[in-house]
Amino acid sequence: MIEIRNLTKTFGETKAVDNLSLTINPGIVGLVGHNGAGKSTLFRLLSDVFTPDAGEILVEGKPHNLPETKARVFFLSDDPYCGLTDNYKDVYRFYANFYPIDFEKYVGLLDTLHLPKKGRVGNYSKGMKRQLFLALSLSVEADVYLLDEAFDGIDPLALDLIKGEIIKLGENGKTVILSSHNIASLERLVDRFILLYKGKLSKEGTDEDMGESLVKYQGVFANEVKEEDFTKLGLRVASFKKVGSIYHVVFSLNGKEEPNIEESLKPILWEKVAIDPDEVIALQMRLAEKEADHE
Amino acid sequence: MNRKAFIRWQIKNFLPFFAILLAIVSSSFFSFAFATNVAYMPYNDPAIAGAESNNSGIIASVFGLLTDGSGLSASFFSFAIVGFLYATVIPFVVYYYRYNKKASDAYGQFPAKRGEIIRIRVIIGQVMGLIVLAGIFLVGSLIILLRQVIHNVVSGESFYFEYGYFFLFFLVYVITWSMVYYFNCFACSRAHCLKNAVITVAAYQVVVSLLLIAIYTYSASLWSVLNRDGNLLPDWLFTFTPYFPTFYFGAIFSRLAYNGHTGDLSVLGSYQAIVSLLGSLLVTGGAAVGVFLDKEPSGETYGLSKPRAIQDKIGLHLAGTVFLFFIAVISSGIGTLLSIFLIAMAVVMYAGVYLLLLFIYYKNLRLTKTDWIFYAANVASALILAITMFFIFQNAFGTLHY
Repeated sequence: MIEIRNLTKTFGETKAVDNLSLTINPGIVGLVGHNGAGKSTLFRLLSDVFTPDAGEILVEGKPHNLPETKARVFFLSDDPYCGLTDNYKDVYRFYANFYPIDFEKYVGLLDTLHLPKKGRVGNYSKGMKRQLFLALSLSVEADVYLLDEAFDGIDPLALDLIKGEIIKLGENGKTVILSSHNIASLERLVDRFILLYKGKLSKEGTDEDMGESLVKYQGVFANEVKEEDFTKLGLRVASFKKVGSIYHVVFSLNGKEEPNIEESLKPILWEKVAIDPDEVIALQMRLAEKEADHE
Repeated sequence: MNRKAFIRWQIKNFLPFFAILLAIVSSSFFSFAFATNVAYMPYNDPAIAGAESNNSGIIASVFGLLTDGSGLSASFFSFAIVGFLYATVIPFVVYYYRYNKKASDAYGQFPAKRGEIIRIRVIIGQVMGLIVLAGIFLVGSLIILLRQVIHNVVSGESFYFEYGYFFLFFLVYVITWSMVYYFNCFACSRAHCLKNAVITVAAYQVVVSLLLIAIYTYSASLWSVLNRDGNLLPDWLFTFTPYFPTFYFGAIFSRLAYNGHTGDLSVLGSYQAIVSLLGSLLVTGGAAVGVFLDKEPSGETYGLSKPRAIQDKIGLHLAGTVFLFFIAVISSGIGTLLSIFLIAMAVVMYAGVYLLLLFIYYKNLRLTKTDWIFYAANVASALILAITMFFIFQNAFGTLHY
């Protein structure tokens, strides 16, 4: 279990992580948010690359910056390091100086992913390099895996294989925290989502929790309507789109009743539709942004 | 951390770089070894040649000792110079991971004490550097020996260098080279990106040299006042560098190796040479200690062209202060309005140097309250120093002339 208490990290005048408190239980966690939301900074704080300005991080009850704690946490950055002339074995040797790594599993994963074993890793394509480092990360015998931009540039076949390995880690009681720009790649993989906005916790919960307060409607109106027409009615609009003559509007209810617009806006057609699960996180991110703008 | 495995990995990682340096250094030293005149030539006898340089100042004397003679001293001289290439470049390689965001992410997360990794890298850099230099020196010395044997067999002469001094030279070289290496490591440890490191190393070299000159000038001035001696200025300022000890000992041992002739080495025992030597040894030795006491900074500073907080602010001020003190000390001996002009210029120069460095490091010219306090304190103490010196000179000599 990871406990984050009042964590703050500032760069110049920017608060990258702002008084963040969180508890992360074992399992697979998706860390999502806009660019600059503080995801990568949080990873670097958790792995002790960065030192917090305030607050503390405990991993299994122990400070995260003790060498014995760090030995149980593996961080794969968005642009991992290897020597200029390193091949796949050199990469293993370098990281094996500091972490216990199952070499057979590593090689097995490389084979499964059909990665070439000849040549310098520096000459690999972006996707191949990413796959190699994911194979290495998943072969490290750690308790906590921090995978920043985990699936960046990976083809669907490899993604499927890697997801399978991550699920195994989750089932074995490990904590895997993933971030990805491709939110769809995290769907049906993570147990919980943590949504950050400007360094603060915006929302956290399961897939269902994230979509719980959201309702989506589609409708047709005789006259042109705008987003403001809904907000004037006291509704929180998460998304407002018009495709052809059909309006798609997502509301955040947060305990309020379902929107009643029949009288005021007089729609020709107004019906509730299901939200695509892939949309939920993006909607929550948009909502976080709107709320921040509103504040 | 598996220390042994890490050391092995690190050595392998450094090898390509050392191979390149090996090629550069060996080609230079070997060419001098091949050019060394192995025959005994009376006009090269230091007992004769050395006498000419007695009154020409320390640097002329040291360099004279290195370059007159048989050419053997030129080999030592070239070895010292190319060795400095190593001592300057290796620290950049050792500290490179701090200048690279990717590497700092990896090294920063590793479960090892932050300082331990850099200490291992620094020591490996030093040991590998010295192994390569030892190899080059050994091969170069064997080339000279072999050429001398062949020459003696062919010509029937029996003149041989005192090869024992070669090894004594190398022993001293190991120490002085290491000190310069640690000095540059210390400078590199202050920086967080490559560009910043280049500027910092250069600035440290200049600052230390000027600081030593200022100390020397001040102490020499007092000395001359006490001894009623008007010779106040150092005869050649460039002796005051962190590299001086290697030349100093190079001059001594190359002369001793020349058939045991010492020639006139008295210039090496002069006040100026000793101050320069001790100053350089003290500064480089202090930097060596600094490397081992240095606490690894947090990863967020890596790759950024910003120095570390307060101690580097002091470093920046030191650069300006040195200019200030240097000019203040010199100007204090001039009993005219020129001295006021020089001191005013020094104050402006100090501000200028500080602002320039501030801009290079921080990309802005914002002066904090601490900056103003440093600046005011340094200007005030330089003025007090200059005024004190001025009155001392006035009392001692009336009007002084340089």
